[in-house]
Amino acid sequence: MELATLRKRGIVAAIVTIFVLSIFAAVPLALTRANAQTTTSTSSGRDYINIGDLEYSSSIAVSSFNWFSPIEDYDLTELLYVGLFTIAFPPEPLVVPVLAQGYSVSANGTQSVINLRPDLKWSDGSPLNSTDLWYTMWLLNQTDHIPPPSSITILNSTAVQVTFPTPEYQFVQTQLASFDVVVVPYEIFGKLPVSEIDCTSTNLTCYSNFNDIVADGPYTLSNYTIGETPIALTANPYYFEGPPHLKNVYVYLYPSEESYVAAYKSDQLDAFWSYGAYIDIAPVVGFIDHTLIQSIPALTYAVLFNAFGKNYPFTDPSFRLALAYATNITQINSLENGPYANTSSSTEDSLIPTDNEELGLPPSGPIGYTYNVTEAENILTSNGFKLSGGKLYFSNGTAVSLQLAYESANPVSPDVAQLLATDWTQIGIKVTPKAEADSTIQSLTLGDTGWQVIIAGDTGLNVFGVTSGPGIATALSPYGYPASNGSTVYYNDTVGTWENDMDVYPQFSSQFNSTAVEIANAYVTQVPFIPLFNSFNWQSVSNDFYWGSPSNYTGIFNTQSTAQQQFYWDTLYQVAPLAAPTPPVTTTTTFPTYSTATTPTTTSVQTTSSAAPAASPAIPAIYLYVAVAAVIIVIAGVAATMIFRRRQ
Amino acid sequence: MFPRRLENSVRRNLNRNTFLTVILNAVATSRMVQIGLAITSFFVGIAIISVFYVPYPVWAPVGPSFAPPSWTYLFGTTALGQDVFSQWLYGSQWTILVGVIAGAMTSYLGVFAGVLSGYMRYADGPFMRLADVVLTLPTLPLLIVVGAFFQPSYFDVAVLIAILSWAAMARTIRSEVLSLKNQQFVEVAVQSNVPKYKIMFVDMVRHTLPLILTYSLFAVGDAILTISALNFIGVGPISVMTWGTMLDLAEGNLALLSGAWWWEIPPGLSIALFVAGLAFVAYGLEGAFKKM
Amino acid sequence: MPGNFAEIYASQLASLHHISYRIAYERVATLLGLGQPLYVQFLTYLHEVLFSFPPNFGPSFEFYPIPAWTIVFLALRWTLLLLGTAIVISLALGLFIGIFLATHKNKSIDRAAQPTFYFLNSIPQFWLGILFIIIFAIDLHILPATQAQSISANPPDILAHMVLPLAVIVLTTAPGYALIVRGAAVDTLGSDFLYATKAQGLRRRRLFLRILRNSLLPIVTNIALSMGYLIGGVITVELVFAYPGLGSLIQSAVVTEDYPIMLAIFYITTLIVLLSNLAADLIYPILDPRVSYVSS
Repeated sequence: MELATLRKRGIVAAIVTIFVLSIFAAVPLALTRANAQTTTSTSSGRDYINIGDLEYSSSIAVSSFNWFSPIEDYDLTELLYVGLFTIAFPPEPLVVPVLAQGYSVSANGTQSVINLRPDLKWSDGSPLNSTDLWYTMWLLNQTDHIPPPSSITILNSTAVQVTFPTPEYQFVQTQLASFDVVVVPYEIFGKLPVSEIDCTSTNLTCYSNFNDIVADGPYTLSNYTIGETPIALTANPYYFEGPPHLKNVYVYLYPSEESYVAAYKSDQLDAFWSYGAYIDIAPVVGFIDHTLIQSIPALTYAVLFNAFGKNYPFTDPSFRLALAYATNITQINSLENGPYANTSSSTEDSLIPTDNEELGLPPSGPIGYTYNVTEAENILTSNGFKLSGGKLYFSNGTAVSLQLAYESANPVSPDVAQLLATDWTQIGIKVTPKAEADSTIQSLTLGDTGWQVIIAGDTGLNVFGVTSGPGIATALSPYGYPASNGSTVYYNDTVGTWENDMDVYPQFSSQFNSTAVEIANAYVTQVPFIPLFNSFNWQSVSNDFYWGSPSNYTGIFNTQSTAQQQFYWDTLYQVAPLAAPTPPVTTTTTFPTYSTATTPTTTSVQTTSSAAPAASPAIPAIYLYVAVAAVIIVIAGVAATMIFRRRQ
Repeated sequence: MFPRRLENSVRRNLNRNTFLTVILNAVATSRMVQIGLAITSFFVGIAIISVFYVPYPVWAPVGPSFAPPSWTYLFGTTALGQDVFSQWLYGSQWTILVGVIAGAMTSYLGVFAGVLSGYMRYADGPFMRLADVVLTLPTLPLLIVVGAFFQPSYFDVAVLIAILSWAAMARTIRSEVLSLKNQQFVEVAVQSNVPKYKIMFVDMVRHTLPLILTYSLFAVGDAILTISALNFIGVGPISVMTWGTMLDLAEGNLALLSGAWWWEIPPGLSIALFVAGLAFVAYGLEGAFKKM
Repeated sequence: MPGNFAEIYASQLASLHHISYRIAYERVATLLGLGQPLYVQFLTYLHEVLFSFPPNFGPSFEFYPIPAWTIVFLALRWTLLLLGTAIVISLALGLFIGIFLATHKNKSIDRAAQPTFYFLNSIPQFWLGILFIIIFAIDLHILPATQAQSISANPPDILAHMVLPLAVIVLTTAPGYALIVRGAAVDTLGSDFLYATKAQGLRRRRLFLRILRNSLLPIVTNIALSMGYLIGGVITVELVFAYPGLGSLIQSAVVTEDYPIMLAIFYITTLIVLLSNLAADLIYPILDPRVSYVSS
């Protein structure tokens, strides 16, 4: 009898608990539904937008809004401050002025004059003029960002002249545009010691620019409290292109691509951008009522060899060449880039055929390596290596093995590591892939110890091969690394000299061109790296907003505004709600070819109405449900048994 | 990982024969043990098969990317066109092996510390204080920190897991040994000059075998779960193909969000089932030992 | 090879700011006091961590010069919210389901529940989390998939964001508690004192409370012991749902090799486990009069 009562009590208690819990869940549920309804009904007239920011590095809070700090939050700082110049892609000229109106270089290359746009204002309404620009240049020099100038002078209210002791023809491009150098407010930064601005002060202070922010970007935020989520940005009324259409931008920080994509696909966010291979954005392809945009190339992936010092066999060009032949670049590219593989040519200079022609190279650039295992084996065996039983041995009989380091947080690298390991195992080498933190990879490449082969992704412009202009690496050069005395160590002195020469000659002068060709050919014969493929910047955006049209260059396709940035954060400068009079995005499925400089295609747009690329299966929810339903059914069964038992 | 209520109620003298009889009885009668054994032996079976036969190479791309399940690719293919079925088959070997290594090491450490501190009074203090310290260490955060520092291999992770999870077992065994210590058979052994180490590591261990067996089974399951969680965070080892590695790579390529459920469901469900299977066996045996 | 912060920071300075690596490294070395002997550095570190409040783990590398502790504390708020709620719900569910199963010992429901619960207890939490996101957020659109709050942060909004992570944690931990409670309650139901209590003719409600109180004993110890496990679970689940707690933070810290943050997170989680064990020890005599810390 007592037991029966107890049982009853238990049931009642369980039911009460479930009831309380369901209220717990139901209230917020109902509210979200209500919210969702209101948002859909008013979406066309919305004056705000939810966006996400994939921040592997600081997913809890923003680290800094100070451009000069090494830990600044690049994505968000870029929304607050606009670059002076930026690098663009054909058909745009290489250097595009943004906040600046233009620049000029004297004939001997020692003097550069930078002109600001007239009537610029900071977000607090105060004028932005040559004083700020002069201060920024001074600060860049103080923080060793630019080669030391002999003088910096203010010419008038918008122009500043920088004079160097030696010719610096590429100053604006390599020092300002490549790094998206911004102008900082003299009124705020000028009051701080330099060591505090670049975070090297010995008393552990570092200016993070969180309070009383004065900015010049499309969006501003006057104060940032660390830990604030989402970050609410408001339109800057003094933005030089006019205040943006959307009044507010809410930024959510994401620690992993997975959660970021999940948020976007569950409509928590209105826009999604990412860089990487096609495979990384495959989940948002074909997402209904959203438009996918492929824009400029992001990173060039390549295999780097540690050919420095005594790192045999990597110091042997024939070994590197054999590995290049044994690498199935086409397969890697097509697996990573899927339907976009042909637009991400695996050669190092796929971008600018015209420049190649100008340099006297074939339009497709220097000829690379085609996949040929037999060729690889021949090269190896004719250079003292022995192949037996599917394994490769040095002439002294020890087996050949190599360690392949890759960036663990980079979504592309683990895939490439697997494929490379498979390829190189074919010629008998034992490959050990090893994940490393991105920063470790970076610091490893600064020296000649602790690494053998690295899968590196870097901006093709700066690092790999002959691209536009001087374009030869200094940051992560396959030919050299910075030595402890500040100079660069090259494993091949001739190429080292060439690379140094590139900075001294004016762009596209005859010396410049011949040096570029020498370097390009040296890349082919010396194989300091194996180029793999380019990745891209991707955007997928909700059709609830009017994003413009590529056919008439409106909205985010406005080439009159900034060239590179328009596809990135600065997209939001132009976005109008859907109610705008112009029709929504027209569908073009052409990919950028860059073959003719006359076709101004810098984007390709893929809407959901067009056939989605093959490698994107729809979510077969049924199977998923079966798996989870199994669990739920069991629980439900238990619950049902509970209830029916009681009635007996 | 999850502390379980283990009954330390085995108070009777127990020799090897009764121990085996109980186990065989449990296998014959307990539905729980039967189900558990069926599940675990299925996975052990495919692990053995995979030693001799795997349809495709595990790492090499063998088909189109993201191909749904078909007769050619039973479980579909990965983003790189690798065969998920082969990976799943081959992964069972290493998953089980790593889990068993970690579980075995946990048990060795736990039994050693437990018996020693239960039987030798002077060892009791130090070992149990150490156990207290280890019990308060949060396993996963510590493994993440260590993983980030050293990029450990699977064997390293197994050792680390053992170092972090022996304490609970040692405690239980200690209390068991404490109660066994006063029994007559120990007294007899002591008086007939049986060496101390023999009493400890033969008699005591034999009498705590039920406890050791159930606890080790749980330890194997927990190790597998911990390693897969490490893999998910991205600090786990992925040098060998295991179910955890599969999940790691699938996460990296956003498999489920791309709709490639066939890449993520088999390893995840297999981990859940295998660990549950082990728990069934352990739980069923526990009940059988209790009734003994 | 574990990263060396000085090298990493210097290389970041060097590559981002186009300065020579040597200059950058010298600056960083002076900044961190790398000139001192190793044992002095270590003693300074120990002193700062143990004898200052809040514990000083030094500046975070990623949020330099904000102290690592400040950042971890920001994340800790959310983790504690999730953890606390999860424990309360799991505890309540575990208790009632456990007692219910004990009173239905060996009935079909009890037999069915045990394997189910062991299965639930064995599911990798992050895996279940992703399934839930796909089903409830992406396909059915009824719950937010990620983050802890939206623009209009109010209690219902925060609750809505908590539902999915909570569901995953509760679904995988409550069964464990239920099984523990069941075991304890079965013992209690069969014990002599219950017969005595029944013989006393106590009211049924009192009887129920007695069983509840006796079943609480093992669960209190187990919550304390399983705190490490729970935190591990919460960390992985937070990462799946981009919940701005310790899980997301530890992932970022791992990626950027932000060791002060990692150490601070490890310190705080250990502290939580330690404190919950202490709390369990203190609660124990209240629940069980047989236990007393006062020597008689």
